[in-house]
Amino acid sequence: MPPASQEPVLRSWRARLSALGRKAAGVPVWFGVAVTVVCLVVKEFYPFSHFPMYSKNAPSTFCLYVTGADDGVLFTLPEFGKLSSVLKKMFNTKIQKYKADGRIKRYDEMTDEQYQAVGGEILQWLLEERRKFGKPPLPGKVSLFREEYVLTDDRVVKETFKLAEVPGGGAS
Amino acid sequence: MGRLLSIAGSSARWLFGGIGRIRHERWEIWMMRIGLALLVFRATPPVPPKSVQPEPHGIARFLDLTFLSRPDVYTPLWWVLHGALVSYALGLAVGPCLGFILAFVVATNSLELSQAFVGHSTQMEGLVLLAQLAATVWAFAAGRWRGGAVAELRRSRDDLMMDWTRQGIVASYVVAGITKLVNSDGEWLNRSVFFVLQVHKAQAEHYYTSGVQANPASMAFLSALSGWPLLAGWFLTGGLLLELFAFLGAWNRPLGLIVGLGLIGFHVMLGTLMYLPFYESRDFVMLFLVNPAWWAWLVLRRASGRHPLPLTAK
Repeated sequence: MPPASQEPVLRSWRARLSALGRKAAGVPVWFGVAVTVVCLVVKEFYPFSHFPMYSKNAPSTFCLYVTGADDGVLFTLPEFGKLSSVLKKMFNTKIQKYKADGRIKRYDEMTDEQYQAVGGEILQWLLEERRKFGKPPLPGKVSLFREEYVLTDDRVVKETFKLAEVPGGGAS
Repeated sequence: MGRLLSIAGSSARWLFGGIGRIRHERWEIWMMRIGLALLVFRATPPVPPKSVQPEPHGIARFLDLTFLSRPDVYTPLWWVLHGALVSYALGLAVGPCLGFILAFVVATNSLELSQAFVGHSTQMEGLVLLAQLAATVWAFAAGRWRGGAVAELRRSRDDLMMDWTRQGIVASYVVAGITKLVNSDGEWLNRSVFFVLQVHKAQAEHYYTSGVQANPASMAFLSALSGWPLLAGWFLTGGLLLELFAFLGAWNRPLGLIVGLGLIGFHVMLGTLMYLPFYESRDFVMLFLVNPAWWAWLVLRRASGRHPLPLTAK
């Protein structure tokens, strides 16, 4: 039992907290709560999204890049008018379809032919975007590479894989 | 000790005492409407969107939106959009204008997001417009137009629009925070050691996009993460708490200022270190949460000796 001299202070603090709580409860926040719930439930339905960017902190990640006939990197913005991050998003979307269709059970079950098919679609799309961008066809072949980053023994290890290759559409 | 408690108490009263719907000044409503109209104008190019929807997103799953790619359809609608934005900014026919603006923005963005890659830089624009329209409809349906002076009812509707707009903005950050916990099965912070991989990837994507190597700040950040893995834990913990508690930014003006500046700082840092600027989100947060014009006005008002204003409506 607190000493009598402290009782008025405690009542005052309790009364203040209680008043604060009543005020807070009276603030209508239901629109924000509704938007939060809808975003989490529908996941992706513009303008609602569950904003999944960087949400897994997975032990590996990767990016995709494009090379030309001389195996030199083709930078996506000047060559195709696109950010390179778009390639990975497109790749993930196509892989998810493979999983949804039952063609694979896990993402690491993709065969070389499946990678060529998916990567080939991405490259064809890029070449079409290049044409719309007003650029001439590319000579020789165009290739899509996957650059993977893994943390091994506290060191970042980088591995590169070729996914697909298509003709550039121009003279060889 | 007593003085510290007194300061703490005063600070808490200033931060949390002003709970309640913010009562905006008339010029604030004008500024926010004009600001929103400008942001929508900036985000809507005169070039029609894509002509295909290979991976339909949103309403594109139910409607073929490719008709919007035709210049003879898109261009007139684009001009009507401008008219609607001007009318909205002037406070004329706000509801119908917002309905058209929202429909246009949702349709065009849904078509753009139907190209097999989904970005997340335009969702806040749609959520803000939805919040504004929803508040307008709610105010009308709740009978706020009936009885009382029209000017007072209109002011109540305007306050509600901006209040729900703030809620829509902070909700997007809260959702991002919750999604991190859900998608990682609660292990997001425990996996912070892997965050260094994301920075490597971000730098690589920047290089493969433009041919430009990572900036010195980003390189220093990567070096620091590699040398001190704990840094990632602190960095991610701060970011996650900011997202999960972003809802406080819609509570009152002081919290809107603090949370808003925190969110903008977060975006600036990510833009510099990981090339994720999210310029649009920054602008919405600045306009509706931070609201620097009001704070400047408050300081000037008090400096001129005028009667201090309450920070929120009583």
